[in-house]
Amino acid sequence: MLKYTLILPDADEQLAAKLLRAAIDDLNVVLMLVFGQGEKAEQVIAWADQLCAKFENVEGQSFRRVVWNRHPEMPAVRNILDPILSGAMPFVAVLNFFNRLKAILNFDEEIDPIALEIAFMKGHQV
Amino acid sequence: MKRISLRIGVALVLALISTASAQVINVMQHIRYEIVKSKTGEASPAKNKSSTRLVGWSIATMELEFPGRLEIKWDRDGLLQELAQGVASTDPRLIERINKLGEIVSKVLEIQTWFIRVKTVAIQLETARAAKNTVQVNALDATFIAVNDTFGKTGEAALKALQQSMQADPELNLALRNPVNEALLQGVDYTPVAHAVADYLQQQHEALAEQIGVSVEQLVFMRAYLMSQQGRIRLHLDGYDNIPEGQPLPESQIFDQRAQLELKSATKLGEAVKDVVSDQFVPEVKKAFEQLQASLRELSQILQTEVLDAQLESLINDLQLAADQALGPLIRSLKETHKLLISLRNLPKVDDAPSLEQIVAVLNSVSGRVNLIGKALQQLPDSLQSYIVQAEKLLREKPEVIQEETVNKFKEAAQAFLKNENIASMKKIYANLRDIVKALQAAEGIAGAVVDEKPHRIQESLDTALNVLATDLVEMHVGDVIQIEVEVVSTPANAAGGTVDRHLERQNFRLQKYGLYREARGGLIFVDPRAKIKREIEFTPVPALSINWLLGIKNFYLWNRLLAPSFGVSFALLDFDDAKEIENGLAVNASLFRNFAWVGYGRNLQVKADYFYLGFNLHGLANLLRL
Repeated sequence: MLKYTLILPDADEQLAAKLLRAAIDDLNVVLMLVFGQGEKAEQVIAWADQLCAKFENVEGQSFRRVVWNRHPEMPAVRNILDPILSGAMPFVAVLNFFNRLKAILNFDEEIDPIALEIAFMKGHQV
Repeated sequence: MKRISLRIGVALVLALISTASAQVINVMQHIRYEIVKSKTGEASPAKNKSSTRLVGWSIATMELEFPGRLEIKWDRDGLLQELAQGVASTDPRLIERINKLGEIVSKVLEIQTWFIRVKTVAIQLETARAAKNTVQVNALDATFIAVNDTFGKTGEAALKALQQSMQADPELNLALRNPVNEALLQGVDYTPVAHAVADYLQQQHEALAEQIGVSVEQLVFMRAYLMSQQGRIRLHLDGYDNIPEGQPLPESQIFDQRAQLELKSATKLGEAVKDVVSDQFVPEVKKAFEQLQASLRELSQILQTEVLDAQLESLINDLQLAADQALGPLIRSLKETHKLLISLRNLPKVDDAPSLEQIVAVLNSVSGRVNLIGKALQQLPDSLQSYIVQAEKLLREKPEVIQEETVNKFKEAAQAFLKNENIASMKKIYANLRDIVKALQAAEGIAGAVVDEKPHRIQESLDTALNVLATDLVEMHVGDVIQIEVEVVSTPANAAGGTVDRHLERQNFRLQKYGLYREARGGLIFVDPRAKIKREIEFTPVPALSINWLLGIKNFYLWNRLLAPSFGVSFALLDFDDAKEIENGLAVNASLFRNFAWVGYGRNLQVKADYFYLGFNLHGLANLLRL
């Protein structure tokens, strides 16, 4: 079960954009964005969600979070992402507390929990 | 965690060493000293640890507070790595991997440190937010960002190092991939990651030890010495020798051997102290040896333990046949006692007119048994009584495991043994043996020759401990030096070739007490009467004894080692009046420079005349020079 991951809705583009905007606007979190579908994406999401658990507080909230956007091609979503990602579309992106892009991982890279943890670590940095 | 942090220190030290020179070996760098304050010198029960202080890595002469126990802990893995550099057959990739892994463990533990800070500040921030304390929130916000930044940088560096090492080393990748991933995903913090790497590092160390052992056998000898006025005396190091330790001296003892020796020296001013000691030594050893001969003869006549041995064996056999797990501890205890009894019987034979070499050989064999006999004296009566009770209880409660006849015969034999004079005789023998050991301790040359050294293979645990307290065999005083000596002897495993390499290093500790402490000293004072007396004397030399109180202050080396002022009282036998047979002088004494220079003012109690004196202590000068 994913505990710290927001899965953006596939069917409602406007709602997806609204939720993504809200997640990005929360400056109290290190945010990992995962784009796309398939087995690899599911595996990465499962690992990333687990890597958030160390930072859970007493209320069950973590200041590491994951957003899974299975359809990054949605125009409303792209409008939000493009300024942050400079138009690129990586497989994984990590934003720091100030919404600065700190790490990206591309789909053809070998991704394992160590690689994801390193990406998160970059997200903790100013 | 502790285990890991120890390794880290070593890894750092190793890194420094390896950059300095691969040829220079420095084994002392791999030792960590821990001082446990203990008046008894007993090993490690927590209740005896009044305080624990880490002294740190080996550096120049350190102060060692006593009485206590000096625990000597080796980083064997670090030592192995260093020694491996000189062994041609070791795989350089293995050493490189070990070095890298050591650094990685260190870095991962650093992540943990920052992780805890991040979590702490996060909690503080949440609390401040809940309380709507804006000022505090702003301040903590900045801190939160700062600690996260450091945490992120530390973590990135550590994990990248791990990732790169794994990518470059398929074997490492295969071994660590799953454990590290699991530790990252499942762990509530970063210590499981450190453990995963450290466990593999440990395996690599074992592999290295194997490789070294194939071509070179490396033995580690450890020795401890006390360097004092009595000379350089070898002390017992757990597991490394058979030197007897002696019984702790009662604190109430004021005038110890040093004070008596100093008084003697003062009396015989001009005679070299060494001559005094050596003149006493030979007759003392001879006397002790004669006593030993007599004692051993006596022992063989009276120590009729055969009956008890046999019954003890029957009892053990019966209990073993019962195959009852609950009886395990009792059987083990009975076997121990049995072993003890047998070893007491195997004392060496002594010729009537032994040569010095024979004396040394016999003493070598006997001195190792002194502790054993002492142990037997303490344990045997209680143990036997307890076995009788336990055997009778077993007979009542579990008659199927033991025969009544066995119990009765054992009881009879044990009671007979306890009733006869064996115990008292053993005590006498024990006292004789202790005399011998004492004589040996006084003679450095022979004491060194009789020590049965027990070197450790490099693959074994090398840790040991030293009781640092005055005993009836060895006195210790503030200012004395404890020297730890390590010798690593490397011998080619293939006897056909190669040379034996010996490497020797030493570390000194200066004994110190903190707070107010007392010392009794002997000295020569020059007495000047301050009243009209019948004799015409001024500044006449008289031997005196003083009891002084000093103040030891932590980290005040100049005060402790050089100035060391003290105040107390002194006693002297005076001669102001030829008509008086006894004249006792009692004075208030002050001294400086570790009891070297004395000054005092007192009164001749019989003649009723005051006096002033200046004085000195010859050994105090020696102490000063030694600092």
